[in-house]
Amino acid sequence: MRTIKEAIVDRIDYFLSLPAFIWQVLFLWIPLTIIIVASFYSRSAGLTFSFYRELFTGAHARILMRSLVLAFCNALACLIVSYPIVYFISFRASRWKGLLVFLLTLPFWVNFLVHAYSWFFILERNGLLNKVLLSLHVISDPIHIINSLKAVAIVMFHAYLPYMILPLYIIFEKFDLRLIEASMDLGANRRETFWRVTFPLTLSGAKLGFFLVMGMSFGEYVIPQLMIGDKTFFVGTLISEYFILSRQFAVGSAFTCLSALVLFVLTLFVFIGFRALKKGVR
Amino acid sequence: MMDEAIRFEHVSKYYGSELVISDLNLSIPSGKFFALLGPSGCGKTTILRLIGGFEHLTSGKIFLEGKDVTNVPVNKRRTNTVFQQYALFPHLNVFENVAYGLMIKGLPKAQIKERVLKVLHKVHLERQVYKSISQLSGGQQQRVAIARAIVNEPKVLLLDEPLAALDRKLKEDLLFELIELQYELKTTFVYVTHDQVEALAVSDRMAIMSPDGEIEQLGSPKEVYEFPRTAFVAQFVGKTNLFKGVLSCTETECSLVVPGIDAQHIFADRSKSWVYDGNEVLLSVRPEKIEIEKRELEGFSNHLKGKVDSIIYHGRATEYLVEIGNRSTMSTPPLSRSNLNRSHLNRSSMSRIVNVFEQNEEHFERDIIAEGDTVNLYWQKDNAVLLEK
Repeated sequence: MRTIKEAIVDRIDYFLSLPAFIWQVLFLWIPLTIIIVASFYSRSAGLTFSFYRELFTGAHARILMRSLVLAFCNALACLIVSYPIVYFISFRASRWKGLLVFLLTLPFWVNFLVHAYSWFFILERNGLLNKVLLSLHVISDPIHIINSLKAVAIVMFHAYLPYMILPLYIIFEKFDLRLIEASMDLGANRRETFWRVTFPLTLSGAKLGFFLVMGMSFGEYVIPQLMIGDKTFFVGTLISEYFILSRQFAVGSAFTCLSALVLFVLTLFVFIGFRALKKGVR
Repeated sequence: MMDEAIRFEHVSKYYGSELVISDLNLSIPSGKFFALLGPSGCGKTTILRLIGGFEHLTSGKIFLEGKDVTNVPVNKRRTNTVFQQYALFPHLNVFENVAYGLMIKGLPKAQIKERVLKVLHKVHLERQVYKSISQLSGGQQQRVAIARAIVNEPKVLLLDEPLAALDRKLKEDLLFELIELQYELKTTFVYVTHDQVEALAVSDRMAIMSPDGEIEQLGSPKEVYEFPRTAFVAQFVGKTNLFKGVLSCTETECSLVVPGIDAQHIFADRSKSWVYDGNEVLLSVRPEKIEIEKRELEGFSNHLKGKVDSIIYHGRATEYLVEIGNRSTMSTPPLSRSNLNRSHLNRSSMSRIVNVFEQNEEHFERDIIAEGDTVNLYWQKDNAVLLEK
C-alpha cells in the first residue's frame, strides 16, 4: 500500500507547479476570457462586432502602427547593442564576468520611476545632453527631445536592455568554446567561425530576448506617460484611456484583443525572420 | 627529411609563469601511428595543441613536413583534430558536420557530397548521414568526429584522448578501427592518451612523458615495454617488480646485490656510463616473466623463495602476490599520482611483495597454488632490465 506521503512525493512536480497554475488561471486566463467575451457581447445587442467596427479608424491604425514600430525597433536596438557586449563579456572578460553582468543589470536596482525621471533631466531643453552638445558645437540650438517619441524610445531602450542581455548571457555561458577551436581547426577564419558557429548557436538567446523586449515594449504605458504626458499616443496609453478615463469597457476590450492579435502577427513575422536567418547562415 | 611529419626544436611553453614544456626536441615519423603517453597534467595535450596551432609556443620552432609552421595560424595548418569531447557542431547534422571543412574550402557541392559520403562509409555511419548529433550514441559521435577530421585529408591527424569517454568494449572496437583506418590512409596519427593499454595497442611508435613534462623514452611499444629505460617508464607502462641493489661487477659480468636476498644474476651492458661497480640501481622484472612453482626447477638464472600472500584471478591470467623474506625489494603498487613521482618512489613503497602473472592456459592446473603456500619464483636474467634511474 502506498502512503499518501509517497503519492505526494511521487508527483511532487505537479504539486509544486499548482500555485503558479492557479495564479495563471485566476489572473490571466479568466480575465482574458472576460475581455474576449466583453469585446463581442453586450447586454443590449447580444453578439456583435460593433465594438470592433469602432476601431476601424485612421487614428487607431496609427497608434497600433506606432507601438508596433517602436516595439520592433526597440527590440532590434537592444539586440544590436547587447550582442557585442555579451559576446565580449562571455568570451574575453574571464575574471570580470560576474561584475560586468552585475553592472549591466544595475538599472534594475534603482527604482524605475527614479531612473525614468533622471532621463528627464538629461533630455530636457536645458538638460545635460543639450548642454554637452552645445558646448561641443555639435548643435547650435537646443534640440527638442523631451515630450517626443525620441525620448520615449531612448528611455525604453535603456529600461529594456537587461531583458535582452540576460537571456543572451545565459546562452553564451552555455556555449562550448571548443566549437570555435573545432571550426578554426577545420580551416575557418574568425569571421566564418562567427557566422557559421557562434551566431547560429546563440540565436536562440537573441530570439528569446527579442520576444521579451518586443512584447513588453508593445504595451508600454508608464514611459510614454512620463515622457509625453496624457496624450493617447500608444497602445498602452490608449487601453488605459478606455478603461480608466472614459470607461468604455467594451471598446477597450475590443482594442485590447485587436492589439494582442496585431502583436501576435508581428511575433509570427519575427519568428519566421529568425528562422530564415538561421537557415541563411548555415 | 620527408620521413618526418613533425619536428619540435627547443620548444618551450609557459602558461603565465608556469613552465609546461621545457626545451622539448621531438621528431614524429611520417605515416605512422604515434602515441604520446603520460599521466594527466604532464603536458601531452599541450604538445598536441601546439602541433594543431591552438597554442602559441613561448620559444622554439615547430616543423610540419619540413616546413616551419611556428607562426602559421590554426586554420591554415594542414592538421586536423579529433577533440576529447568530440566538439561536434550541435546545430548541424552528421553530413553537415563532416562537410564543414570542405565547405569552408569552397569545394563544389557535388564533390563535397561524394567525399563526405565516402568517409562516412569508411567509419560505418552510412545509415546515420542525415541524423542530428543528439540522436547519436557516444561511439557514433566519436566516429563523426573522426570523419569530420579525416575528410580534409590532413597531413597529420591529432587525436586527443578520443576514446576516454567510451565504455570498454566500444573502446576496443574503435581501437581496431583506428588502427585499420591509419593503415588505410597512411596519414600520420598523433594519439594522446594516459591509458597505456591504448597506447601499446594502437601505436607504431610511442613517447612516454614523465609528470614533469619531459620525454622519458621513445620507441616502439615493444621496446618501451620490454626495455624500459627508467623506473617511471617501467611502472607507468604495464606492471613491474623493482629490486633496488648495488652493482657488483667483474671484468666480464655484473650481478646485483640486493640486501636480504641472494645476489641476482643480471644482464648488464657495460658500455653504459652508469653501469659500474658499486653504483646503486634498480632492476625491473615484469610479473609475467616470472615462473611460479611449488616444485624446484632447474635451468633458471635467478631464484627466490616466498609465501603466497594473495591471489587475484583475472580470467585470462592469475596474479599472485608473493611475499619474499626481504625488506628492500619494491614491487609496483597500483599507480597513483603520488607514487608516480620518482623521488617519492625511491624512498617509500619498500615492500616485500613480488607480483607474478601466470597465464591460465588450462581449465585445471596440475599444481594448484593456494594462499599461504611456499613457492619458488624463477626468472631468466635476460628477461629482467636494469634501469638507468
